[in-house]
Amino acid sequence: MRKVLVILRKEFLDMLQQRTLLYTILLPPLLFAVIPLIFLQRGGNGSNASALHVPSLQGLTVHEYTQAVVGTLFSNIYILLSMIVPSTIAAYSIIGEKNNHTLEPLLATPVRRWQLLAGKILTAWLPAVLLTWASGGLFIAELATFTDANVVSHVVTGGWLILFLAGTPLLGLIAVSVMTAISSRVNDTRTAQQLSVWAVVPVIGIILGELSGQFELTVLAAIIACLVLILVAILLAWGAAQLFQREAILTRWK
Amino acid sequence: MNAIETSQLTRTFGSLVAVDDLSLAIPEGTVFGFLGPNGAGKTTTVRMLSALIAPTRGSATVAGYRLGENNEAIRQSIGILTETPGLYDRLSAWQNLLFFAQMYDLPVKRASSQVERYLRLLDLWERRNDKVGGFSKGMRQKLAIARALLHEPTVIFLDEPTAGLDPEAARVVLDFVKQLRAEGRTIFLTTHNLPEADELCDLIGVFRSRLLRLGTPANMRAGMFGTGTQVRVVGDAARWIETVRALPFVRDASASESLLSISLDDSDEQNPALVRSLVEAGADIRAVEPTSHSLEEVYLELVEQARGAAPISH
Repeated sequence: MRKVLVILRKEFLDMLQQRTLLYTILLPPLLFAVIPLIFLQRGGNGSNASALHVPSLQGLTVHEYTQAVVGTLFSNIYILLSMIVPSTIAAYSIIGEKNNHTLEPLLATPVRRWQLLAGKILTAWLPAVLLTWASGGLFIAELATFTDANVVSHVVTGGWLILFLAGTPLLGLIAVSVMTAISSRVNDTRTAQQLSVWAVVPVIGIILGELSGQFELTVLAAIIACLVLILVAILLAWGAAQLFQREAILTRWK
Repeated sequence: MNAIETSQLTRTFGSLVAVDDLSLAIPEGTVFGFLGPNGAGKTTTVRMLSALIAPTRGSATVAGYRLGENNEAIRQSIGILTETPGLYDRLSAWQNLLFFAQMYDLPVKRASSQVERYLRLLDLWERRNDKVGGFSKGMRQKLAIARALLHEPTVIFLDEPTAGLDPEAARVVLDFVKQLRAEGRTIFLTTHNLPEADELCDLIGVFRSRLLRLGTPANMRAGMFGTGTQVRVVGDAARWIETVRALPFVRDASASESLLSISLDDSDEQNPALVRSLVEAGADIRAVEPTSHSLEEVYLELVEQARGAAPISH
């Protein structure tokens, strides 16, 4: 475990020196923590959001309904955030190392494969999960401050909370695993990030399904979703581990 | 005892045989020069011996550990300078080395003292807090060499340690390699710089997918071209060329102005007889000097011979 921490420390030191990367990591959670503030305060001023028909929001006043729709829209962004942030970090961490030719000296040390992979995954995953939770936590605080309890209970449902707390770490792991696979074939961080967007598409589909009333994110639905995510995360992490072998990196990675 | 021993070590990539049937024995404390053209399979060999990639067949022992059985122990016992220094540009020299020292399992206190030791030894101490991205090529190379030595490995792989360096920086690196040799470490040196190999190496292997020749630089020169002697005479040397060629131990001879260049099997043994014959024939001799073929000539001859052979593939 000591070596994993040594790798983490080095990665964070390196990350702190990259302003562009820091902006890219910190800006989305910051924006998504601030933007809802504007919309939630303007919620009662005749926003068109009330045109959306969300079955789970029946029984609210127009003002509450608008706030709840805006809140539901934003609440889903925090689920996506857990995939966006780690993709960016992993792209820099793995492809950057590949481009700088630092992987071979690192692989020549007595570090075990799992230690190196764990170090790389944690580098991307840990800040992503913490930022997602921090940003989402601020969002909940804003909701509690600027909307009625009625609205809060409609947005921060049991299902959403389960997905937010248990699903986002899994989605983060999925994003890092996908990025590891992409990194083995791509030498450019921007291309890798563009490709990783495809991993987000299924999640967007599910969110749109919920917003359009196709299904409701109940506690049971969230638990099932998390179980599926566990399975997908394990499979993808296993795939990433297969690609992250000394020989494969040195002879098959492009 | 041998620091590195390989037996029929082979590595293929699809139908391409990168390393074919390599059998080597490098005694401890030897500087071994591994010479070969680009794409000859030198890097693949180094990667196999440093337990980074597995051989397709054959076996090897490095620093007393069997490849494939004790790979982690091998990696712990060797130091490697890769073709490109591969340093973290945004980190300082100190941070770079400290990270690698810890990756080689050194406790923090010892890691710090080793980092300081090598930064001072390689004259980088004053720049320890500077980001490596701002370092010159020579400084980066020195830092990469320091990285390879932090854990005091017994076997060191150096891949082109002076490539692209200015003469001054190259000299610093060469002197440092000599210092390592004096400490009794085994050095596996991959290089294209033949004078450098000639200067540093106790043992040389010329390689192009397979080992073409193995020996000390002196033996290699003698084996390929014999030894040589130059005799400076008074007047035109061409007058004595037939006298020299008539001697049974002379391999070849040529004359240019007052100089006779003679190739012999063993100049130490045969020079007295050569000089006696010339004097008896009436030549007035001004000077007799031994000559030798350069390692470059040996290398080019061997690689040229190998080039004539069919490319290796299955």
